[in-house]
Amino acid sequence: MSTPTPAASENPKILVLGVGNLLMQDEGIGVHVARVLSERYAFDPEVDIVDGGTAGLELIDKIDEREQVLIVDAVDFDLKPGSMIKLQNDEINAQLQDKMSLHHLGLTDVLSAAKLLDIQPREICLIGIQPHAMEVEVGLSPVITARFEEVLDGVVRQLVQWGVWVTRNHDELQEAIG
Amino acid sequence: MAKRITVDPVTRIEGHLRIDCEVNNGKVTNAWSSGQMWRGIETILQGHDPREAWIYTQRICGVCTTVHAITSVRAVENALDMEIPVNAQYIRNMIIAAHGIHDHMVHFYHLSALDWVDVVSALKASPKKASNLAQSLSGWDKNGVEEFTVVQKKLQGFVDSGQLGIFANGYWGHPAMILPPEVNLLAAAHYLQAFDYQRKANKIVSILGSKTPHIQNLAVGGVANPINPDSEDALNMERLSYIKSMIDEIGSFIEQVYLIDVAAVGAFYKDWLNYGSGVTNYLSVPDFPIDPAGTKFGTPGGYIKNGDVGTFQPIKSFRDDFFKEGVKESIKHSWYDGDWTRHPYDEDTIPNYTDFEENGKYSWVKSPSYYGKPAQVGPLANVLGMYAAGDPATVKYADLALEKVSAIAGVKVGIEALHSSIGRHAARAVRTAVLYEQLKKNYQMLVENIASGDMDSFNKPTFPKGTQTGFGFHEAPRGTLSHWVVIKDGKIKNYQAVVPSTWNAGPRNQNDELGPYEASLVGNPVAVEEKPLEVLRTIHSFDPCLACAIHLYDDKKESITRVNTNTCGI
Repeated sequence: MSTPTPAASENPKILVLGVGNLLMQDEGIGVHVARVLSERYAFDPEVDIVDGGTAGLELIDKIDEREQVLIVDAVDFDLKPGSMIKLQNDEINAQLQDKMSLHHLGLTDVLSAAKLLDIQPREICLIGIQPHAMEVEVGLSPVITARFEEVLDGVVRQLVQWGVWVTRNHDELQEAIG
Repeated sequence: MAKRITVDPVTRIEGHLRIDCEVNNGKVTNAWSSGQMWRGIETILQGHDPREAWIYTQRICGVCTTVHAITSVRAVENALDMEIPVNAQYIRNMIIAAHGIHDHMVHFYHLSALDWVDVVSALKASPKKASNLAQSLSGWDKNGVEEFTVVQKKLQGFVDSGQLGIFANGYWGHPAMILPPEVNLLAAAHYLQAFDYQRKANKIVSILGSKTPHIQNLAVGGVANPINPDSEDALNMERLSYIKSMIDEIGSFIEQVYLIDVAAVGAFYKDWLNYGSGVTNYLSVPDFPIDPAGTKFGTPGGYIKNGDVGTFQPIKSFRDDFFKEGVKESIKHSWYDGDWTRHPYDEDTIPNYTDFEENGKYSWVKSPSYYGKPAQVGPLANVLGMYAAGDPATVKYADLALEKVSAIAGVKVGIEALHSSIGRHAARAVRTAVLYEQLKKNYQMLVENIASGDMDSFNKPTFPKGTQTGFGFHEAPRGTLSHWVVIKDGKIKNYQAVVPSTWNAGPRNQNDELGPYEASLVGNPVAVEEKPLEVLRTIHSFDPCLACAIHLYDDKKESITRVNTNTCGI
């Protein structure tokens, strides 16, 4: 993370926040997405991509002074593993309230605390991925690994919808071409 | 009829604690505290370079993050008989103080106040009356009618939407909730304001430590902060004065809001001054070293026997034998191989899981003892120790808090009232004020020392051949923390962390005496078994670094109800 400065207003207006626990397989999907996203793509206008890990209320600072926030996390919706769900604004807390989902220490708490503090981005979008396995183990399960590109694609499409110009980094492209 | 309440983890991130309570006729009659998670950091460290141990130990927790880093470098420096530059002491001290303030503030307002404050009741309050009351208690400038009206509207909006969000887990309307609506509104308003101030405290940690959670600026031998008042790339005057502005703001909130709120809540809940004492042997250590060797400290610490502050025996230096010889751990009731009581240097950590056996082994936590007796650690132990030693800031703030409580409650409340669940909250507030004084002092000393031309922040450690042993201690937010290291030929041979929650949450010891959590629960009332708020109040008063759920079982151990609660991590 960068050194905090008093001038937080210079931050990009769009934030992608990947949250989750890297030590628990698919629970870490949000963090994996954030990492690959920042390695592989360039964004115009600039997008802030943050590995939120298992942090809680610290994330309020990150949400502050943004216009659009895209959160990526594992969510248990009793769907087929790898299914993606998109929730927006008030739907997020309404839908997640009773779910023993994600890393529950924080996301809904962070969002409701932010609301109480009048920190309200114009748009908050959650892309939730139904996990397959969440044992204590590093790395995504094969099931979710197989769906990873689709998840990434979903996240990129959301950014495009928000008017962001997304391009693949040159080096990555070279590597892909071989 | 005997019933059983179990507090068990549910979340996947934290959740290491399980508390079992036996309830008879509305009172807790027996209790077991069980750590449900294997730590293993000590095993990982074997064979590692002692200079990097702090990076690993810091990952023991994501909340009390700085403390294991600070204590680890102190342990290795102790083993090498090192001194460190005073600038490094001051910078570490400022991090310690700011982190502690942040941690205590979050604990009171965001993690435990809702055990006592009924947010829904605040909707019934008259903002004008609440404002009058608040202004009679404190000169804080954000206690106006307008302020309280806005807060009440916000809360109403939350309740109307059916999404209580951050307040969802509270026991609203519980018969043990007795604050008048106006006090609830006042507390709710300060709950929201506290978000801002805890962020400021945490910002100090991140500026000095480069990152939070988990600071990055430590080194065995000092700190890695380059100091240069004129450079943009170093700790300079611009950064330092920014820190100073935050120190001032935090200080006003602590003195005019936090201390006052705790006194008010304590006064209204004065019955709770009689519950939750438990183990009254108190252990704390001195901290805020101001000389290179760690022989002079900003805050005193030591040992108090049987709740009698007259028995206070000080711990005097980082090399103190009274501390070093006193600490032992037992595994009689813990899931480790064997049945021994040993000094940390001689311990091993070989797992032997047996399932929960209430008369045998039932916890991953070892049971520490001080000269053979269980001891309570934490802000209460620390404040009692500092009070006994006559520390001026402690005496000033403790007396101030007790006077407020007495005035609001209409009865004289003395220092002995602190041996209780609510007393732990009061002590934590007093300690926060003392930490603020330390933050100010260390800032001043750092600035003056830099102005005198001393920019040193690091002494290079050298590791001789052969074996060295060392220990480091730190008065962390949850209490006395110590790390113990054995180094052989420059590599870690053995490492043990005896953490505050081990002292407090430990199971029965070698003599089958109850640990502090366990003992504090015995005698607690339980008004509504489905909502054992009172058990939570006592456990939360220790500030456990855990998330848990409450399980209520009937005689056949069948679950009647289950209540989730987060105690930390946010």
